[in-house]
Amino acid sequence: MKWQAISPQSLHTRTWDDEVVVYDALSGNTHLLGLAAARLLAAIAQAPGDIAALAHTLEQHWPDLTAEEAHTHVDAMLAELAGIGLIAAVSP
Amino acid sequence: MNISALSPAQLQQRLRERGLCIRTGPFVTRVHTSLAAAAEGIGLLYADYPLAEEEDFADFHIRLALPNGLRRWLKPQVLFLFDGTRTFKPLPADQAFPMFEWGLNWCVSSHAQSYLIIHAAVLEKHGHAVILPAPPGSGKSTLCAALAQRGWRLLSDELALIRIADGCVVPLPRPVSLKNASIDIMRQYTPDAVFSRQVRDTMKGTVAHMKAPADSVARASECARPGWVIFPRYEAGADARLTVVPKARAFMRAADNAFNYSLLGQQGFASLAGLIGASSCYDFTYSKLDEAIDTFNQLALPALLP
Repeated sequence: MKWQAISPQSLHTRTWDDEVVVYDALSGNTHLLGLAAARLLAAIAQAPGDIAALAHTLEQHWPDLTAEEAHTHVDAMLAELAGIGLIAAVSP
Repeated sequence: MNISALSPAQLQQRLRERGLCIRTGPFVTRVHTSLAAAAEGIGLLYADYPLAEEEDFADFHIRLALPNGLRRWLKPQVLFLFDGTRTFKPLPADQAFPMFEWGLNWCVSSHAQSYLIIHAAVLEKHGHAVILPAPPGSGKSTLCAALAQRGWRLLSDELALIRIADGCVVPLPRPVSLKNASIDIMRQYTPDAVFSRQVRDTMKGTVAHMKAPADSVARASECARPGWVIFPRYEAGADARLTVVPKARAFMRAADNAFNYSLLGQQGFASLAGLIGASSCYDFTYSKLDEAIDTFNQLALPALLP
């Protein structure tokens, strides 16, 4: 299963320190994300990916974590991003 | 010519007949009323404001009127009409002046869409604005009134206007709304300030308005650059203390206090991002006004962004 941004061209971001504000012009909603979740969203907005590829993309954020732990983090963030309507799962 | 150039009789006649055109910051309001309570408040608190020419464009057309029928005589009420249309429920007639103030806030916050409008007090020093977004009961207006009487220029007590075109903070100096205990606190703290008479039993309790300093009114065309976004909170017995708020969180809180952030869409996002990016952001707790003012006077100017 891959994940894709619902409307990548609608996303506008501002980053301050380790937090990111995301404005979704499609829904009109504004979200506060951690840096890792924002990076994950940016990666998905650039190109849809499956959880393994996305975990690999973000591994530099968690150098002390095992691949399995990184996978768990990404899984949780994907659920969060899907929950606020920024990404959706697509069948391969 | 300022409103003070009119005698009380001339002011009442103007309000009753042609309407009085008041210039407040970037807006002109034409107000009609035959209510003495409204005329009294306008004459007292708007004396230093420029009279706009009658042929000038008026942004807002307001009428404060008595309803027809028995209500004119039995527990008289006041109606607020915007462009001839009733906008709010009627209030007791002695609340005519507070209703004028609340109604004018509504006029601006509902119609001035070339600004991002945040529910906040705003003051200026050294060309930089401090914006104080806060919910009712936070001590925002009390702090604003005190700062305005101690060397800070009043830009607004209620409405921070961030001009979308360039991010400037545009002044809208008007009387400062004080409620309940704040009224006596400010009377004692600034005995030279001018206050409207107290009006009791309003939806906000007892209210009175403090006249904006004449210098702030005279400089209403001087915009300011964003400097600080500070979320104030009165806390009995607390020492004055600033705590840094991460900018992304300050953004979300300021957005929650904005009237038209959602309406403006991407422009609102960009304007607020510009404001927060250019400002130092803090939480501020205080209990003593002197300590609060000392703290504000020691604020370091934010680094100017390229």
